[in-house]
Amino acid sequence: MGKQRPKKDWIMEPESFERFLRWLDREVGSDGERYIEIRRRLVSYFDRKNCRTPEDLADETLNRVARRLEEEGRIDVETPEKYCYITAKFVFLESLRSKEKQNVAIDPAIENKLISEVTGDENENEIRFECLEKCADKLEVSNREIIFRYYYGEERIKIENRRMLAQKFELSVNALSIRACRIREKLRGCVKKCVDDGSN
Amino acid sequence: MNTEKYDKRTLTDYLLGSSVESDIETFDELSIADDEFADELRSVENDLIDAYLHDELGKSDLERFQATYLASPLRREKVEFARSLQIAAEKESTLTTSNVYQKESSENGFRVWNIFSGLQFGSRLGLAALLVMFVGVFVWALFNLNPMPVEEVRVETTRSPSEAIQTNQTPLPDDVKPQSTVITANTSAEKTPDAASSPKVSPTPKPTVDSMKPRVPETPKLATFVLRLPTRGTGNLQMIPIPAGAKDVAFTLPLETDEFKSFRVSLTHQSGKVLWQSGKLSPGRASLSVRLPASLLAANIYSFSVIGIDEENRPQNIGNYSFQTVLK
Repeated sequence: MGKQRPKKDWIMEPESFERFLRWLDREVGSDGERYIEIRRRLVSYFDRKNCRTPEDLADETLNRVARRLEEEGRIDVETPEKYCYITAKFVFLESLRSKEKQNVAIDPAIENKLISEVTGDENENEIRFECLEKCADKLEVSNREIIFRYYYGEERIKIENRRMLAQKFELSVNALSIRACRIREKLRGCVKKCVDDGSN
Repeated sequence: MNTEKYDKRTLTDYLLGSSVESDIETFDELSIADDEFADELRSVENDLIDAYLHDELGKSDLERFQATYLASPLRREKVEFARSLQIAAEKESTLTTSNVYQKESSENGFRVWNIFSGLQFGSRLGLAALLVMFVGVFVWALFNLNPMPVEEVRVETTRSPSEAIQTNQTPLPDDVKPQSTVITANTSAEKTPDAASSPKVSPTPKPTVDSMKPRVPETPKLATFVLRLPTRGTGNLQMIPIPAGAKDVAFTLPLETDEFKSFRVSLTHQSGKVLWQSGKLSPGRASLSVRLPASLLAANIYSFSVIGIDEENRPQNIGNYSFQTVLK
């Protein structure tokens, strides 16, 4: 068990992180995929709640869960995901309270900065497209074919394309949709990282 | 999990912030704790974004999408990613079609040669002579039976540079409209606002080899405008005619200063509501370029507020570029 530190100063050590990953994976190794997936869901959750820093709040949630696991040695809960959700709810409520405090004297210039990066900039669009091409090149051939054919076309062309694609890969339309979504998420993550690296 | 509790419509409402309170709580939990639900929700969200980009959303969904969904930078990033993905998918599709076309042509060529080489020498000679005659007649007919002169068609704009407009489907006079030629978007043209003042369409309205190529999918339509420098007082508002069917509108904002390392631009509605904000923008040739979905703009008065960021990261108000939009 780790030494007790003030909560806000708690830092996740590599061993704690390993233990946390195993707990999320339910002892089935996923090479961190499960962690990434849960984090993604948390980010989307906080974003739907219109939080300004959904990524930070997702990290804060995961940190708290990992710390609890480290402190208690185990967490008796239905599923790790459910516990993450319960923790996320608390983190969200706390963020609302701290936002109320912040709103008292927020400087418009800071306000402007707080609004996260948005797109619309031509240069950024070009960079994003280049990144997309780079990231797509890293995909397996079949995944590349799925992602481009699945999202090609409008209305009837799109539907027909998807039907043919499902037939080719011997998948149901629903299974194909889930696979396409996962590839899209992965690709988006890669593109975001590439764009961020490029602009820093 | 009770899958009857939700369907695509319910999930769309949830994503657009219109669910009932009890559903919100349930869906919030499922979106994190239930794999199947999380996948379904993601799929619905992707479809929603794609429908927005393809102009397939109904009026009510479109309004909620613009007011709620696009309010978050992260979600706007998803939309921009989806837009890039669509362009890449269209490009990939064009390449694939072209490769298949080339491969088929090449295979057909081999087949003809195999038939030809299977004939005896005398027959081959006769067939070759026939072929030469046929080509000769065809060339003669081409030059003598089609006296229609080849003209270059130019469409000159009469608008001033400050009101320049360019769409990827430049209207042609009725008498020179091609029947089968497809004028596709040239995205590189979007990068040169100067070119917007004199769009040219060439060469002829006659069907050409280009018109017989596999059809290149259209990229989103873009209308480009150059705004006037901000002026003090109440001058006449610059009129911006948004063409029907335009998906995106690009604005060039001329700058009078080069003191700032970067800029931020926000679009404000006449009511004072901020509709859109840019990320960090770098100036290019004494101007800024911003691009936003045409659906953000109705017939109304808007203003771009520009803030310059100096070397010490201090923001300074540069000015407001006000304009009035009309929908054509």
